[in-house]
Amino acid sequence: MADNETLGEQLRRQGISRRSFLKFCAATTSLMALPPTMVSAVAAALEKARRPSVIWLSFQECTGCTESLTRSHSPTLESLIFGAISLDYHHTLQACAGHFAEHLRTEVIDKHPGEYLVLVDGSIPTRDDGVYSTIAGMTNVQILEETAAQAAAVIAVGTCAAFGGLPHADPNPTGAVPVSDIITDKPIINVSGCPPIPTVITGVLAHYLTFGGIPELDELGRPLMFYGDSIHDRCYRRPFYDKGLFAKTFDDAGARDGWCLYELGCKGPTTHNACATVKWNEGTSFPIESGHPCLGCSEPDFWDAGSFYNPLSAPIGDSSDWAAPAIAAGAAAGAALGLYGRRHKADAEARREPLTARDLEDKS
Amino acid sequence: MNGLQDITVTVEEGAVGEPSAQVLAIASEIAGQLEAWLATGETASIDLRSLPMAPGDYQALKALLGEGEVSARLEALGPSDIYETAVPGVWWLKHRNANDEVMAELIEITDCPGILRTQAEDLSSAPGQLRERMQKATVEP
Repeated sequence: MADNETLGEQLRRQGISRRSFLKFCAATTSLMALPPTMVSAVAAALEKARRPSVIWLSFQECTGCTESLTRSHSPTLESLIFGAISLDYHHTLQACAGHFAEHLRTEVIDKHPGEYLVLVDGSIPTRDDGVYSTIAGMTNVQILEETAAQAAAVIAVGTCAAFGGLPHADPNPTGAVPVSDIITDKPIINVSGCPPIPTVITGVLAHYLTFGGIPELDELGRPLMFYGDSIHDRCYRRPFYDKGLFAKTFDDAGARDGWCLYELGCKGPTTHNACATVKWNEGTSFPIESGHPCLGCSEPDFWDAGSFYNPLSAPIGDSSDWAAPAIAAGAAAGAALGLYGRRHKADAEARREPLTARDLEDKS
Repeated sequence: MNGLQDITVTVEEGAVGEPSAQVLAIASEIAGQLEAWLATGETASIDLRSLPMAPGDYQALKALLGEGEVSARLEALGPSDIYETAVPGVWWLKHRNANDEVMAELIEITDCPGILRTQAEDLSSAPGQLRERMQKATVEP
């Protein structure tokens, strides 16, 4: 695609019919979680869209976020989106290495100041001058600061980049911090999840490509279109919660009948993500549909929130510590738990014990 | 491996039971949109991927709406199956990619889904395309 060619011109040059384009727009609109009535607006915007350069930086991470994206349906909408952006630098996917790879990164910065996107997965180590993760002789902090300085926006992909994630978990030996602790003068979109749903990653990119700006964000910097509702609010098992029907163990009659997993530790009420509607593996299912409680992986400090199998109303710590607001149910409980969680986090972290297989057995 | 169809596990689909409250809620929304269309002429559509569905709800909704007289298959960036349900004016659209994976699934409340119509952008080049085909057919019989 020529630098100045619009997406519409590119597709016509490739002989893509108008129907195919409209189908692409219908899928993109669905991907962006916009109402289907927006298809014509999306078509008009995409027709004129020009592809932005993208630099993808990987720091302290497990490559799960890239796995999530590249293992998504291929070749499909995601690949079309990636055909519509110019992914100029990606540690894991790029063929070149060494000085040439770094040259590509600085070339994008020099050629497209103020226009390119920076995608980051992984948290950034800051302890001991950031020596715990270096690339091409630069610390992660230095690379991020240099790359983001001229960027249009930064997209923090995954809970590590958005909130610190696992490297940030107690005892945080590398002093890991999220992107937002380093970059404070650029728009940052947090696409949290461990990993994020692939269509959510591409949905955010599609939004930028289509409308040329960042979507509306929640108080944690996450796009409202995907993180606006809690898992609990959109869960198909919610009617069981409302009726007070809970699975007590993983193999009781309630579990087999698909009752609510709240008492088995489900973090759905305090977790905001699109799993319950967008789902995983080509829309096949999501953890709760497969019989497992939500771990809350798209929320800050989910790894330090106690056992995945303790119900929200019984957090780690002495039960005598537990304040009265915890008795409140549903969304109210979520808000109360948030307050409780912050107040008792340090205390809980000190008493935290690793999860063992016995935890699971005790629950079953 | 390119998709779920490569995994040799078959998902068993149970018998379609009575529609759940969620299915009836979607059906009520469709009924409301049909009434609004009759009253104001405004068509509507529902993105099925934006709705929380329990296992079996999808099949129950499909069974509730039934199949009507018209079905069409579109080949554009992969196949799309489009049919009018047994309820006139309610269309079910399933867009797939070249790997047969679902890209979008919609219910449209309209007299004919827009994507089935001949597109004005394609129509402008139609006479030239036909003349070119005529020329090719005569030069290269």
